[in-house]
Amino acid sequence: MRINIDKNLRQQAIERKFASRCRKLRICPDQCLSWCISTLILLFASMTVRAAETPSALEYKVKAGYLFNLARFVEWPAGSLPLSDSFFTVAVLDEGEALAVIQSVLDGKQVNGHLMKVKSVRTNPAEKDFQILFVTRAAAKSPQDLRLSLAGTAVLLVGETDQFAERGGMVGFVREQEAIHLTLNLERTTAAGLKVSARLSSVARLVKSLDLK
Amino acid sequence: MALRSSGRGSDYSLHSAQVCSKKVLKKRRKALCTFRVWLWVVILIISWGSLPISYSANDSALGSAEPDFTSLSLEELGSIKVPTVYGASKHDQRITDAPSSVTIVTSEEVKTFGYRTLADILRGVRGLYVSYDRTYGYIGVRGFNRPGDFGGRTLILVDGHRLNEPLFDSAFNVTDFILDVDLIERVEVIRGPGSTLYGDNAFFGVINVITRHGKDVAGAEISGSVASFDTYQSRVTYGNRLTNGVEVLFSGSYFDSQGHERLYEPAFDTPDQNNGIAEGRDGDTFYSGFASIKYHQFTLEGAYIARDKSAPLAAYETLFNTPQPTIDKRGFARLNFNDTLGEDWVVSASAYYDYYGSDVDYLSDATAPGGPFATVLNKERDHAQWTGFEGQVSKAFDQHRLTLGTELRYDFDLTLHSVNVSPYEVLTDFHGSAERGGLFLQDEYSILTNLVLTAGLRFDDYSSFGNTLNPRAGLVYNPFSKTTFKLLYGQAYRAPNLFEYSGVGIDSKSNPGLGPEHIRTYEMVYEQYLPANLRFSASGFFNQTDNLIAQAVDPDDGLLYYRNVENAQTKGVEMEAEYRSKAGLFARASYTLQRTEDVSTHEELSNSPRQLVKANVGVPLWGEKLGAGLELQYSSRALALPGRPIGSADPYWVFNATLYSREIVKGLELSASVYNLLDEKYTNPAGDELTPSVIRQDGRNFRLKLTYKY
Repeated sequence: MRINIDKNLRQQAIERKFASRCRKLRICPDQCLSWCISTLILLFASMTVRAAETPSALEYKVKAGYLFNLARFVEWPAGSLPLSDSFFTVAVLDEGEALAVIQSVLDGKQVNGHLMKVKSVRTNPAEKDFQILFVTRAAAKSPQDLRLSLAGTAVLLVGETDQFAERGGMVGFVREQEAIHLTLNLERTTAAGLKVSARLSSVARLVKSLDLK
Repeated sequence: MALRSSGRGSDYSLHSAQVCSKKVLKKRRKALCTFRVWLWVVILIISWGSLPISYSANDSALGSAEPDFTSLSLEELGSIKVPTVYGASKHDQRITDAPSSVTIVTSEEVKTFGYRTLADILRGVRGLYVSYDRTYGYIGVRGFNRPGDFGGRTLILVDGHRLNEPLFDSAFNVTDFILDVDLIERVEVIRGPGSTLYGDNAFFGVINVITRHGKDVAGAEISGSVASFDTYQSRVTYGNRLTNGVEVLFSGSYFDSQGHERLYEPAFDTPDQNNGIAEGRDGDTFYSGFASIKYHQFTLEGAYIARDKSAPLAAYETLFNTPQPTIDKRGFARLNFNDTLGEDWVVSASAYYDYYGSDVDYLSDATAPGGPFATVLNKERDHAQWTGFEGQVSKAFDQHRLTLGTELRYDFDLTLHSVNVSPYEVLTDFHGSAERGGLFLQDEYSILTNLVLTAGLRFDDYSSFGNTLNPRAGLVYNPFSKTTFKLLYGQAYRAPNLFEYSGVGIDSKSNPGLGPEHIRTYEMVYEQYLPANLRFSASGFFNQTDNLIAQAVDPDDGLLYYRNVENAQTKGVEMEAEYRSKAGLFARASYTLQRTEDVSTHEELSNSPRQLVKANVGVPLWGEKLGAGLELQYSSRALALPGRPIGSADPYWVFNATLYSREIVKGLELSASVYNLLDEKYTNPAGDELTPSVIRQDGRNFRLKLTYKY
């Protein structure tokens, strides 16, 4: 009995407190409930939304376009490219949405007689069976570490983090005046045995390596 | 601007006691019902988005109407605009990554909807509203737009350069805005406090106007328009990137409007005041210029406007239907430097010079008791000149991006001068100077790849009132690639402007203890991208404003002075849905529900509509050659100042429509706009200085515009 009384009192106290809050908000309790339920449903519905068009889809479509042009205007050393009937592979190191968008743009395209293929790499790649490695911001990898892991290979290291080409990478995507542009570190591409065409180096902003401690 | 001495005391914006009557409750229920309908519509949309349909980026990324990105040249790729915001963190970032609720209005939208002024642009933005008293425009954000203020709680920037002037804090946004809207590349509306980056005035929000680049103009443009009320405007622009790498943009504009030939205002409807008709007193003229020269890391930029508006509504109890020229002149020149120095420090620095001048003539009744009718002409001549330096360095390392910045400013010429011509009498003659300095630090800390904390702190020191410290913190979380949650807290301030601080108005005195206004804001933002290029966002906010500056009368000597007295709070929600089809169809709709009240009395503030609705639809009719823009704006009732004969400005709906064509003839753009299509009779609450309670706005009017590029 005592328990029941306490429960009732507690219930009444809760109702009073709720009503008081409602009064402060100048809405009635049923409206409060309605708001809360609506908000919960809204949140629940939003959490169940499937991955589809991404907020930065356009950004990665543009970057995919640049990757295609890099494949066109960079010359890989003889022997590092597979035979003409095999794939030209772009590896994407990504923890976000970039991979699917880039695949949708590049997969199946022809470049210099090769069919393009985009593949995902999750960590520092052990197998270097690709020609371009694109590292997204979401991957949160140091370009310097990646460069060291790719030492001795003819892989074009492309990234989008701040000063990527200066801090160990070869080509960086930078935002300037709302558009996406390229930075190019010729010293690094040359060291990797890659030959950049004049067409590409005239459009990209040339940068130098930072003396990283 | 005028030296304001209303004498109405500190109850400037509080409405008379509002009883919780059945009528009020009914309205409240109606408002909530409307809100619930919106909410459920949104839920349905999101539920649709959550249907387990087979869908992947492969299906969506390349539509038939989109270009094949592999077929684009390097130059073409570099010309594609990817939406970003600069002003939220002082560097370009994705809108969803910004620690604020952000809206971007692009130059395309300016053309599509036929926007004529910055105020037109802002009226179409979620949660914003602009009142117009036929002289100046006043920007309302988050339910706050106190009649009689000059808009000092919104910071307006052009390319990051502050436009609010130090005498009255004015945020010019109608024909007095320094840029022709045709020179705007985009407008960033960043809601919430921005004082941790920008200091003064970034109270309710920051509006950063980004100008076009010379290389985008790539030649010359001539533009002319004709509009209602005998309005004509012309513009000549040249921009290019020269072969030596220098990028230039030069532009000049001239605008002339006769305004309403016979403007009727019922508050003056007496035989001795021409039956309330102001004849030929609504004219508006300006000329403005803008120049930008970029070379490598240096940018030299300057702008100037001189605008002469005839004020038709006899402010400050002057004589109605007499000339009252109100001239505002605003200019600046700035040299900016941006580069990466040393190892990896991104450095930017700028030095600037600014000017503001205000010339106003008032004709008042000076009839002595029992004497013949006599008038007195008062000439007010105020101006300010200031110069300053801003610098910042930022460095990205590991998971942090640190930004350290400073601002030093010297207002070396502050003048408030007012004389009666005959008999000659000096009413105000203040000459002074002021200094201010600020130091800020911001860290963007990527705790996880999808969780970023932005924390900032800014210290400002003023020669007038002392110092203030303002922090902010924003947590941006992306649980899924298309979903963003933002949890935001911030503080900001508005320093007393010279007029408030100096106390040199007529029958006024200074208050050495006058301090800055403060605001604390709490906000949660939810942004969701949906299939088929649909975007949805919602936010809930709570603002607590303290120490609002208000005018009062000292009972001891009867003099007016400013003091920190009022506290107000706002709570509200905003929702917005946006759709962009691959074929170019654009639609955006938003709803704002808010309430702003005085903390102590719980009375609603003046000029604070509880509900705002905005809807914009851009329809391509013939590819990119022909299109139409339709716009709808709704505002619920807004209270007028207390004690006025008319208690409020009625709710209103305004429709605007624009039809435009481009490149039907090479280089030619044409547009025809009708504003207030349904000729809605609506009003905005008036400030203290005006006799009418509410100000009538323009009825249906049109504009034809032609632009030729070569």
